[in-house]
Amino acid sequence: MTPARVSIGPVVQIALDVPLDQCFDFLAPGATAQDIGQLAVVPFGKRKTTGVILGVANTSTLDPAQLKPVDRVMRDVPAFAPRDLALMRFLAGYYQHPLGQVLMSCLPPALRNERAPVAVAALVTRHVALSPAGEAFDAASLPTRAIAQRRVLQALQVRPETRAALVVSIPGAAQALKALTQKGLVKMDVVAPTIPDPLDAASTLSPALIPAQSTAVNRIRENLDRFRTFLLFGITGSGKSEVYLQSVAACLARGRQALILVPEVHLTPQLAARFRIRFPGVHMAVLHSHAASRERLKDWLAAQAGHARIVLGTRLAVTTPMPELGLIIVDEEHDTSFKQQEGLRYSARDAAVYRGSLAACPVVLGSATPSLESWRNAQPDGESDGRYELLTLPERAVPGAKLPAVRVINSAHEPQNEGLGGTLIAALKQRLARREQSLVFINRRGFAPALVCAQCAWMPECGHCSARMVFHRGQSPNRPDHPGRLHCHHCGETRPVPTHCGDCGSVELAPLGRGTQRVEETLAGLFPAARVARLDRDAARAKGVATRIFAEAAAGDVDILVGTQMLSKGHDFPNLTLVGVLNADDAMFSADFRAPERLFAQLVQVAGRAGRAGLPGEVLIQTRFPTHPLYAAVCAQDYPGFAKLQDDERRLAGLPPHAALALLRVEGRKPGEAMKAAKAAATLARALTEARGKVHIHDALPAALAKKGGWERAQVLVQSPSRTALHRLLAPWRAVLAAELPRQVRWALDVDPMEV
Amino acid sequence: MIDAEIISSDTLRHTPAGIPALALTLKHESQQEQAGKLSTVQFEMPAMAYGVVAMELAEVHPGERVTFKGFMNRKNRFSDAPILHITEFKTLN
Repeated sequence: MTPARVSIGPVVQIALDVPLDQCFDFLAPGATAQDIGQLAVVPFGKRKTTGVILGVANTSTLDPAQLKPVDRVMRDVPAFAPRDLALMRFLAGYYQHPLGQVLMSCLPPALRNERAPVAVAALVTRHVALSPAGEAFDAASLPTRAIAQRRVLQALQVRPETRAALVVSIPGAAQALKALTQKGLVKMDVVAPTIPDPLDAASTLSPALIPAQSTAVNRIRENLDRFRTFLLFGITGSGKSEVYLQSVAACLARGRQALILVPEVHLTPQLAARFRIRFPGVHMAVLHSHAASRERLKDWLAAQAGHARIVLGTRLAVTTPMPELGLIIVDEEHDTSFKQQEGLRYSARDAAVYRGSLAACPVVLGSATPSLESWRNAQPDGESDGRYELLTLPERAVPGAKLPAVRVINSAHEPQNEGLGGTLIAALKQRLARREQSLVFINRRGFAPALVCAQCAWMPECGHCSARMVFHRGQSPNRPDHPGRLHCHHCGETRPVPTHCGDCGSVELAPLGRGTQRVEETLAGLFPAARVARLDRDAARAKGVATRIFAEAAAGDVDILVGTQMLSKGHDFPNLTLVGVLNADDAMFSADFRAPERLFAQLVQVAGRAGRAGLPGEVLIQTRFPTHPLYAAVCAQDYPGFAKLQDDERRLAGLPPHAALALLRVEGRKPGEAMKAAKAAATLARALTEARGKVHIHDALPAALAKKGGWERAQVLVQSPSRTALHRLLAPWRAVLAAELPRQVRWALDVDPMEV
Repeated sequence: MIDAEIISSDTLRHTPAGIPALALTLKHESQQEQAGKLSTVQFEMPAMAYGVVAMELAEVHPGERVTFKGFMNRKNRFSDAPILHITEFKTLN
């Protein structure tokens, strides 16, 4: 007897949060095709786990005797819609990640376990209103005994109420509501009845657009009912946000939802505030990983139910179910934070474009320094044929505001005061005298990137990573009980500063190089009367600090801001006229082929903070390589010119966007284990590609950081001019790796890696 | 062992680990026998002190005469010039 031929009642195929590319069959009496996309609790081994129903059948290829029944289908938790499942399937296939794990990672944490129905129920506020039949109904015609029903109807005639309010104020309301619902006189809903907004907020508050902005908004508006990808290339301060706001207004006016993705959690409150001011009556959900679990669930449910008309969030928001999705915006689309670096290593920007095609809606990618991939796609030449439509905002939106003057200072030609040259110090002094603000940018947190023994050059290293420990100053550096600590920026390990050199025993361990803390201290020493504020990941760790510093800076209560790239994006400080850049050269020594692209973007972003509101801005970049072509392009603020140079180089080298890459990352605890496995993996890949060609398998190499958190790291890069050819290799390669690589090594495929 | 006058001392600082450190300049003057005759000896030299010694020395006013005990080391890995590391001291008069 073949079990597959015999009908054994409904069998559901469930994707579970396990690292396997398969669904699991369970018996589910009463299950129908309606249940596809629904969460279910199932027994799995000795424990219970949650999964997503992907199929319902009447047969199973397994022996029916072995099938276990599902514990519960969680029908009170909303199901994934077919379109959402399609997106998840794409992510699983493209990024080579098990579908069950993709599905579970896309759920808010509160829905990932069997307590999900409780979490959902706790959030639901049921709103009760009269149905049309109830409005026409005369309460007096109810039987005299139905006191509660009558009182409920009378209350609802005044105004809609929440179920909870009725139950509290009217004895017997719970029973009465049940009866009234059955009679069709009241309707209960999870959404508050909409009270029409008397004022058309969007049109009354929108400022006038400059011509380039109008063209962009019009093009997006004209394409609201079809899939089309736009690259909105607007210089810093050119008013990209206004284009977003007006496009969103047009999308909302058509009765559809808008999804806006932003790179940084720290930027979300600011942009969220702008949207709230512009769309005061519109329900907006804000999704990011720092949101409290309950809030995140609430916003996610609101988006899925279609109540939230605007969804704003970081990369994780890209998979938020939205039944009426009509526009996707990806702000700062070049930002590396859109690519997840662990688990499902997806690019939220690319997922957004795919999602636009599923939802048949436009996708707007905005940036002052687009990624080379997006830029290439927007070139109307034979190679990419303008797959994206380029919308350009070539000038600043505020009348009279010009791009700042950018100058490169040769730091080898000036005496340095703790890394600050005379030109920069003089410029800072001038701004203080004029009561204008300055920003000093250095992309290194901590006090100094290393400590070095003055006698023998020994440097403390992290035992678990192939990296030096970074010296962080304590709160009160001159108190011997608060001297500071050493931090590893790779694995997070911290330890006390050693009193003596680990090699020669000398006590003279000196800070080497500088980070934000040291620059802050130097500036405070140079300008004792100035109000200096530092913002980096350490300063922002305490809740609310970043918001407070941004608010103080915007209010003019800070004279000099010191910080990392956290300061470089999306902030408008009207009085800021000087930007100084220290240690930009560090990025020049990176072996990563995208390092120049990232440095250019970073410099343009940070330079863009100066002179946004009409006061002329100045940017001083200290470097030891003043003639480098990258700096020439930054000074000219010529992104298209820079992009052309890079694009040509990449074409010659066969690198993205002219090739597709995937990187196998292998980690092992025992010395040499990772490298050995990586070599084996490369051999396996070669065996698979021999017949097919077109895919180049590089030799196994140690990773740029050869050891991290106690794991040795190796990698194998595979490269192909054809994305299709590359992807034909990935699935079979992953299958043989799963079978062949030793179990104690960890490995992951990174498709379209950000760093190689 | 050397008798000298502290002619200047920096402000007390701390190493990254929080150990107090003090840099000073010492001046020595004496009469020493040289080939059978007394000769006037005078020189200035840099010195360092760490820990408790550094904190105590920071209290001593420049101009005071002090007896020092310690050892010599090169200044740092870029300079072989000697520097006195003070391990003990006693103020005279």
